[in-house]
Amino acid sequence: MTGAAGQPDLAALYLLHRDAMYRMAYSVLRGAGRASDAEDVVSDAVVSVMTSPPQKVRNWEAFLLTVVKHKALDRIKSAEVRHAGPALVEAVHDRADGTDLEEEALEAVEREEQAVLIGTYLVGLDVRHRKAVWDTVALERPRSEVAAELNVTPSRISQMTTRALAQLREDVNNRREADHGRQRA
Amino acid sequence: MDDNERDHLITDLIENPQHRERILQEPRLSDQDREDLHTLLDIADEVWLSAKGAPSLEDDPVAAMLGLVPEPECRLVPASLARARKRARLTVSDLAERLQGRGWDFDKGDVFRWETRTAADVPPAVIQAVAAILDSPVDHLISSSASESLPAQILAALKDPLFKHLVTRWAKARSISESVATAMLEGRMLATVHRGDPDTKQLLRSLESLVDSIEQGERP
Repeated sequence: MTGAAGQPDLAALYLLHRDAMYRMAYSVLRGAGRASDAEDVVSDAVVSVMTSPPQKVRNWEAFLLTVVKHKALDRIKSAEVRHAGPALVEAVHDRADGTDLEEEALEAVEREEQAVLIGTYLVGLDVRHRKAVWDTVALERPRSEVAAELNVTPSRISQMTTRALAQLREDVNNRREADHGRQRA
Repeated sequence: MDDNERDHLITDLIENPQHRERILQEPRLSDQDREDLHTLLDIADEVWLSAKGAPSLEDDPVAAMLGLVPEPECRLVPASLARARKRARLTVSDLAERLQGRGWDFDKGDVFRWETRTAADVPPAVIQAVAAILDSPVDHLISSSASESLPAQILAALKDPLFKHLVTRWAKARSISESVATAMLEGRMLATVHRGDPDTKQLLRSLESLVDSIEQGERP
């Protein structure tokens, strides 16, 4: 167990950040068609941190997300090397105070916050458009199934999805502009 | 790019994330089209990501491995906790604060409840932390009852001498009590069974591989 020398317990950290860790794994693995490896990647990351506990960490969420990201990239690069060992985490530890890692980690945390925020904008869509975009994009259901449930054609589902995404983009942009306005004021 | 074409492309890009780069490089697209598609895709990715997350604690083998799933094999006893805390000359608030210092989100109300009502929901990792804070052996704080209705392959694994051996190695590698180690490895097997239908040999092999990886990482 961690907890010695003022370090938080790894279990407590995992409880707090596991959703974000899984999301990081999914987002990196998806482009390579390996989203189903997310659980193994998170497990590899935790085992790595267990075996090579870092000494000085300013932001644990950022650190854990970075380890997960590197483990996911590692898995994509070498599907045969199922257990890459702690070498990668050691490399992350070595750079624990480096600017690259910090920037990378902050980006990861920002993207995580954005993904959570998008849920609030989804509520603002009308029910049918929300179902079209949620079922086809988030749940990855076939358009034909969603179309049958909404009594429209699959092409109409594509239209509704694009419109819903455009509306969400506008909401996100409006929010960003408002945030920038507040920061300038 | 007209609206129909745009709808079609967005659908294609969403359904085939591994082909995005190729699709977005198609010469018929203008820079403005690409910018439009890119920004819509960013939003689509955020929608996709918002539906993802960790499995429930009971189905998460990592959570089980870390001792985050309450186990009947390792249950905190209210009276024993109160006794150990008083012996350590700590108040309920002191104990809660020390747990917070280790990263746990508990307050004095939680500790009070564990001592006066029920502590059945306290997972092994928290029990280990409490024992460390109170400088008390874990076994003085817990009771152990057989898990109810475990799957047959787990019952068989628990009786296998290899499981006992793995518990000893896991406890040593993680510097935890054997009771907590037993609960962690049992929880790990249960979460694995929830996700598939491995047999006893596969369960034990998977645990052995986990213990090996931790031990190898600790060698200089």
